[in-house]
Amino acid sequence: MKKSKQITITDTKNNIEYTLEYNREALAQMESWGFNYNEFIEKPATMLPLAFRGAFYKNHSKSKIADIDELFESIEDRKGLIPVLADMMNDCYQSLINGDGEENEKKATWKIVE
Amino acid sequence: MEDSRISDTSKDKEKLSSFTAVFEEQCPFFMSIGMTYEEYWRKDCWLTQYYLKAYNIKKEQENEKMWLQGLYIYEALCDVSPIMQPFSKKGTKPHKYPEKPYSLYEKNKTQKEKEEEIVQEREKAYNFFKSWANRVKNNMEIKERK
Repeated sequence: MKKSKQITITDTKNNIEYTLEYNREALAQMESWGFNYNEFIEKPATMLPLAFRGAFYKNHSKSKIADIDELFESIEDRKGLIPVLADMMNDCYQSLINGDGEENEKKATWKIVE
Repeated sequence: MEDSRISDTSKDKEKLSSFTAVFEEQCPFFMSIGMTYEEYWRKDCWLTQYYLKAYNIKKEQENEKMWLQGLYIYEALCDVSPIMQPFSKKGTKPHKYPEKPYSLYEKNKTQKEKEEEIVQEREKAYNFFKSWANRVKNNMEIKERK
């Protein structure tokens, strides 16, 4: 069964595991915050935090923005998140196209250990 | 018929200025094929693929139904054709319309039914060519008289 790509992030400070995933509403919400997919690669400093916040919207919509931003700051390799999040966002667009997409058997996982 | 809703070309990807605009544009279509608003915006993104596949299956089924209906109409016209000929002899009767629907599964037919079917088909072909030959003959007679 084909499913959206997910990544898991463990907040070791508060001992909480988050499952990051996008749905269409999350992407629409991100764009209302000022996110622009076309600038995601060119302006990562501006767009990446928004993309990261948006990834909490589906499964952890009640999480505080301050906590999410703090978690984001604690990630060492933030640049590595860019292609992963871009791929996850692309799922929501690709799934509208009629035809066989790639089988999503691999899940991108991202674990933070502090 | 090609699906012209979204094409996956690099040119279209360059034009993608807003996810929201694309999603809002496609939402009515997916709702028209049975997806709920909640499912489209809030559930797993790939749910749309299953709805699309179901929609294509339904289209195929509808197409098959219409084809079968055309076949029955054709059957009816063929059966009635003997009395529709302008020069048909007095007392000509139409062929009998099939008493049962066509079997969609060949294996359900008995050997006897298959043989009867072959005989019926031969008879139809014979009557068709006979009436055609009579028509040609009558036309030639009319021309000779002139």
